[in-house]
Amino acid sequence: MAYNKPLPNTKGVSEIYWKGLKEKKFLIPHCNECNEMFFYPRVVCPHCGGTNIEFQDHNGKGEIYSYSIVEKSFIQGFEKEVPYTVALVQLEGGKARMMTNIIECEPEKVEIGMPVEIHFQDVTDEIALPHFKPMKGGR
Amino acid sequence: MSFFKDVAIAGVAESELGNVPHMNSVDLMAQASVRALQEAGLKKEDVDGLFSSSAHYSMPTVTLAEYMGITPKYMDATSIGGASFVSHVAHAAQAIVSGMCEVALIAYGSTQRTDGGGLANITESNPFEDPFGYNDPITAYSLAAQRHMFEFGTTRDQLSEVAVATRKWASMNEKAFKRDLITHDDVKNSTLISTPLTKLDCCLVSDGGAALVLTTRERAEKLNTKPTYIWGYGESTTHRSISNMPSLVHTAAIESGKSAYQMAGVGPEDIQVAELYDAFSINVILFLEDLGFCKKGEGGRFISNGNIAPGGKLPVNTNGGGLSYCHPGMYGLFTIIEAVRQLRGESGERQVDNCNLALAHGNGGVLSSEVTMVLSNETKS
Repeated sequence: MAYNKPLPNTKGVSEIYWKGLKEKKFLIPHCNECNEMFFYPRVVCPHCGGTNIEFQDHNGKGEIYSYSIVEKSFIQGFEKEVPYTVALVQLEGGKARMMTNIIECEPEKVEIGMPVEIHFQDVTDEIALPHFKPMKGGR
Repeated sequence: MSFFKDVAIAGVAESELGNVPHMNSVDLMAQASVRALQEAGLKKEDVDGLFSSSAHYSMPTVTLAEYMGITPKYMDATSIGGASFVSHVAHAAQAIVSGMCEVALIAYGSTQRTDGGGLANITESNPFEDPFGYNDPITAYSLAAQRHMFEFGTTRDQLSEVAVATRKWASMNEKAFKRDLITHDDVKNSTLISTPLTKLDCCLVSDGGAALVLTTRERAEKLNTKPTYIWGYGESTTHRSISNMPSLVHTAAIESGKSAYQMAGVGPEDIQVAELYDAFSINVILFLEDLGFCKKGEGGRFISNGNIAPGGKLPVNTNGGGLSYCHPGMYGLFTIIEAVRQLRGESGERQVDNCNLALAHGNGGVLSSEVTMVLSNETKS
């Protein structure tokens, strides 16, 4: 069955990021002026205002900053998948946080502070999404 | 910041509220506008400043001006979500004092309930959130609530207490959509939507409109109503999308509150009634902390024992709030309307005794924009 959930617009400044995910690379914007990373991709660094920005390989590790188990979903394609976990993951090594789904973990076992790592989830021929799963062996 | 001394609120009104399938959003705006002008003793021809924001119309002041047959000489459609309308009142004050207009009408209307319950929204996709099945905005507030529980030990019962206390106030407001008393168990056991929030932690989805008339102090003092004065004001923002909120347990209300208190020359200990934008139960806990009514992390404990309920030490959301009175998509203007009525002594059964200083606080987006106003029935010395 065709993938029927919302898909991201992958064009523009973020194209490198999305292409990276499809090739199992986790490319996060990094500002060469303040030496800090950020997310989402933009042409101006939200920390220092710098414009010398490049995508750098990230190890895909982080920890859960907060989460919510969706028990009733109003989002196309997700209605029948409840319960599932929406989380904000704080990426290792800098000031970048992103929304994701936590997979390979029963929702009731998800905790704030839990170490997680990226799972490149292919959803279409062009797009992979950054899902996260509990890190093997914990911390 | 003396310009706020020279203006006053002369009229406030709601449109029909609740379930209003026979009207559209601009009908509701116009109906509330006429009622607010009528209360003040003004006519539509007196209006020369027009302020609105909308999720239904891309040019809401233009739409409303055409509908009402008015040609204002000053317009502002600042759009910062549900907080917009509190900001419009302050922006109108600046326009009046600088001579750009003399009678400002601030209006809102939405048929959110009739439109099917979803959040009316001018389409704005987010490629970094939409693919993850995030219920916007409920899950955003759930993420904040979950983090608050983790950091400070806030409990399920404390979230429930917000809804329970608010419903007690609503039971005394004949305009409130939900008036039957509820228990902590009712809140906990209602449909779980996005943990930890249940259906009763979430605001109503109603139709409705609201309007407010602001004019010069001199003119307001000659009109039909007892004037309400603005003592202080502040606004700020920290993020647009919940992924980018720097701390899920600290809102821009810290900044907006600080500005408002500083301008007013008062502190949270002086406030006698607080109308806080309660789109979700967690909002009230966050805003009580960020506006200084208690220390950070103590919001849950502060509201326990009925402290924000009728008879409590700080009456909060005395109209029944967005949780029980009405919430037509954007609630901001309703916080000021209730503050004005409390300050005039018009709130009947739910009237707070000797109420001279009130706080109205608007919230927009997903805890994104925060706007605070301190109001009084006395002129500022």
